[in-house]
Amino acid sequence: MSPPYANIDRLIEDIVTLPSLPGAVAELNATLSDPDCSLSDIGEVVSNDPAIAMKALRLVNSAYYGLGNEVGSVEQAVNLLGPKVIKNLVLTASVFESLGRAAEGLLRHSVTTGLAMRAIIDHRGNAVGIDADEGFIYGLLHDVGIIIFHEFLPKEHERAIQMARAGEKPLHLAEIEIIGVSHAEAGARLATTWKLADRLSNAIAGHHVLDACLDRKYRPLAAMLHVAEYISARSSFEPLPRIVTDTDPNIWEEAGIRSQDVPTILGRFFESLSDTEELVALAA
Amino acid sequence: MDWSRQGGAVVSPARLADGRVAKVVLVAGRGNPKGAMLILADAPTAQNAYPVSKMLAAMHPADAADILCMQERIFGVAALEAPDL
Ligand SMILES: [Fe+2]
Repeated sequence: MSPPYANIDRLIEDIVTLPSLPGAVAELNATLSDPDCSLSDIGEVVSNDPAIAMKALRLVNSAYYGLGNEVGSVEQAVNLLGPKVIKNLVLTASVFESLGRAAEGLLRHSVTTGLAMRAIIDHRGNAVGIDADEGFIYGLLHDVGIIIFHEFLPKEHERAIQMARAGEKPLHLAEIEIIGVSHAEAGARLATTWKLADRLSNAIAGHHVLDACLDRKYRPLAAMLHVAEYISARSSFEPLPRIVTDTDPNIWEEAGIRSQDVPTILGRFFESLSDTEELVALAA
Repeated sequence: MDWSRQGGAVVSPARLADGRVAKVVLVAGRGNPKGAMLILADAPTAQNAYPVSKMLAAMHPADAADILCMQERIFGVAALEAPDL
């Protein structure tokens, strides 16, 4: 029997009403692409969405940013950090807002995958054109497809989870067999709907199977995300209880990570784990 | 990797990138250079035991990550959940 949704467009049309990205991010994207926009314009856009503004302020004052002095207003944060960091901050805050629906285990897995991605990008430098803060967002969002399935196809997804737990196949393949698409494809579709960067939706699409990257140039980024997820899972932060995350041997080479790089990356990652609980609390 | 407890140590068989078979033995945290050792299986003597940190180039990166994560879970300071072994 073929799965009910062999076509992701049908799945999205029939079942899934993808959540919309909070207005602040869409507006911020538009504001930032206007060459005449000022720092106060940016502050105003952020302040107009109180939930996001509050989360952004909590984030800017968290140990993750480690600024030391308390930042009291959005304007002050914008002046201190500049437009690019603010955009990442607001996007991160919005993602946390959306991830609030996730089970705590998945949230912790997403946050720690973000921290692992940040450690990888820190180590690899600007090789893939994103900075460490942006890398953190990639990790936060990589499994957002699981939340979509959990919400819209809970019975089907539970069957896929059982199949993966029984060791029959990895979760993403079980999802393809039962639902018709994997959480990686569903998550990438959400990123596209949110008009996030192409490289982000490609990286999410390819984080289990690199060939799912529509644009080949994003394969190294997808490979890094796969490695970040593996590191998180091996450090006890599995995406779902008893779901094993394995790694494709060739993916490390595509990610540009040699075994000699592993201790440095993991050292940074382990040190950053003290931020986990504070970041998890931000989604609540 | 396939981890199990052996006395105070945690061990797993390992295969090096060139196909050689070895055993990984974890006895202490990553601050200790001999906390993770690799013992080549063709002649398992003390002379054939090397710190994992010196053998990284011969290992697959996924195994290196698995070893260091397991070491941190058992002996580390990052307060990770201990494995069920
Ligand atoms: Fe995933």
